[in-house]
Amino acid sequence: MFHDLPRVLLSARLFLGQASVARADNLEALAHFSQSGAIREFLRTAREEGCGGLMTLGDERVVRALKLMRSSDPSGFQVLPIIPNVPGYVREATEYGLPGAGLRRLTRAGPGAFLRAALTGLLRAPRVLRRDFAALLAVLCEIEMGEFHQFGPPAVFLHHQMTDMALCFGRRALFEEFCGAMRSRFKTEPGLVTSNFALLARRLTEWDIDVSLIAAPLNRENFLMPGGLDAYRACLAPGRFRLVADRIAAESPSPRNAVDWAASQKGVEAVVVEKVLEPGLLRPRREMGAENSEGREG
Amino acid sequence: MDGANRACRFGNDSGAEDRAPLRVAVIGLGKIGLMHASMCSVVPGVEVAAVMDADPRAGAQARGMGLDAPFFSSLDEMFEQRSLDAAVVATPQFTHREIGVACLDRGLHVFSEKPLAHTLGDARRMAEAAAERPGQVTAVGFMKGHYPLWLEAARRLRSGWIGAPRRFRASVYLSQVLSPKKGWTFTKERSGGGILINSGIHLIHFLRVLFGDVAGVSALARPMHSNVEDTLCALVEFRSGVFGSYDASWSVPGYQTEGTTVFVEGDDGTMEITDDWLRTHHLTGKGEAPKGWSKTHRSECDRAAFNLSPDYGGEGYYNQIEDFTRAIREGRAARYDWREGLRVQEIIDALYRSVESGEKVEDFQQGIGEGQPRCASEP
Repeated sequence: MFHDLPRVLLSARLFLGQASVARADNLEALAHFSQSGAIREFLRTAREEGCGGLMTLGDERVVRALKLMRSSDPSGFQVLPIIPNVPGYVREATEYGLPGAGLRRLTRAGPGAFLRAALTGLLRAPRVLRRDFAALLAVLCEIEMGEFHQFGPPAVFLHHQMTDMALCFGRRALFEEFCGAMRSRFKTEPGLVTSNFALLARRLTEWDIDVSLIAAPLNRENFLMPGGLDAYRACLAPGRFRLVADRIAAESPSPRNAVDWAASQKGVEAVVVEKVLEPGLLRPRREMGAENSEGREG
Repeated sequence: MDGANRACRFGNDSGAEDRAPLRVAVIGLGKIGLMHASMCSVVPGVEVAAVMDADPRAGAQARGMGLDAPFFSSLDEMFEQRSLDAAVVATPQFTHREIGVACLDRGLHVFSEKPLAHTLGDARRMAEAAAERPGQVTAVGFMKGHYPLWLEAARRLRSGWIGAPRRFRASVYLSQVLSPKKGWTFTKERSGGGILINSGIHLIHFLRVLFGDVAGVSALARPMHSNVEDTLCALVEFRSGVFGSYDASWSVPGYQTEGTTVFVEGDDGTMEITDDWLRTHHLTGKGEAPKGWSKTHRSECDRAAFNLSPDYGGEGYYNQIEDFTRAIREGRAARYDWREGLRVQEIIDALYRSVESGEKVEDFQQGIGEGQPRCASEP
């Protein structure tokens, strides 16, 4: 089940104050986007400029903005969720431990959400109560998908810290379970976010895991690319993987040529961009997909 | 194998990656322990041979994440049943002395999370125990001191890029405590304090990397949401003559990831160091330093073979475990050992005493053995 992703995607990092910009700009963005209405207006502008979708964690303001956008204009802005919202849990883990932070998330979701998670086939409540991490993770994903399901995402991505920790420990089953759940439960394509694409690609191939959609940094500076550009190109060359190229430059906003360069690389299906507060700074060429499908660099 | 033989097993053996892996125990399976277990799983030539946590449920949780090493809920049981070369102590700091020294007594090389301990007395006892065992490598988790960008900044400073440094401004902020909190981190008797000893300590250590031993401090601090200090500011004078301000708070909105800035004024220019950038301005341009402005992004320096948390410290977490394990194989000291951990603890203790007394505190850097931390320009 493959869906064609939009060629240019927006990252929600700017709304979350985590864009690759100066700290002062991130603080300004947090203040500006503190209300969902401001996020909705920004998304509208991004769509008009050629962005076809948003990659985002499960942030309340962002989800509300997407709902507002959909209610007034249901046409074609794709939502690509990244689950679970690991940074949120890690912040609470200092006080409650990781399982405790996850359980708090469950209780905030309310008894209805917890019950739905248990009744929809997971049946893992006893294991969750015993703080079984795998069961807890599955329930958290179920709850977060409860928020995103309404947007009909063409793909859902596993957060990079989950992907990369499973990679560290060789936990093949986590990838199989996540991919299976996304396909069978949510009828969507699974994707994996990673900060270590070269190693992930090798392991997924060795383990013969059925997933081809990967989101990872790709840029000419080798920024956040362990192994380097040559290793990444070698992993993309066989055509097994379809890359969503993120962090396409060390600095943001990405220069125009960084967008074009990333989109022209073999195996790149989509490019993720960040923006600062000036609408109009990003001008993805609407014909970029058609231009580059013939002339990609190898 | 007795302690001395065990400690020498990997000494002076730089090609040992091809040999049997270094067998490491990870003690403490909270989020930092899991981070270290992850790094020990990907650094070449290292294996997680055992994991230990006082909470029996931690083993099941770790297995659920894929960490399959044998689990123990007691140190003695682990020591009896597993053959180990080294230990990573990632437990709360009030347990570091007991666990760290116990591991040393068993002949292990020991990496301790920061701070070295929750009190100066415990830190001193740990450093003394390490000094009595010179064949065993010790290290402290000052992972930001392993950022290649920051080490490059230290190298340029020592190379005279901005002339002699005279004054600095340093700050670290994060959005961690914005409401009442509970847990050992926020209990002074267990953690040793608040923002300073738990998070701001990385910046204190880095200032030592830049400027050396501290001569005197004056500090003010306040709790705002918790029972420990949530915000602290200090004036710091170094023996080298450099002086400046240090500002730390974990109660600042907008810092989902920790933000650190160091600004240094020298007699031939200025240097600004952040998590992502190194910017310098050179008035005259001498030696390798170009006249005028130059800037370096972390992407020009980063080199970790695996990055688990690129938005916070991933480069440092990998590099510090690599340094620790390489030090064991090469029979040398780790970049930041327990002697350095003690000297940082002396500064932390002096800052807290200044807060309590309202007075300047001086002449407290005694340490044990070698006084200056190593930076990129030193072997």
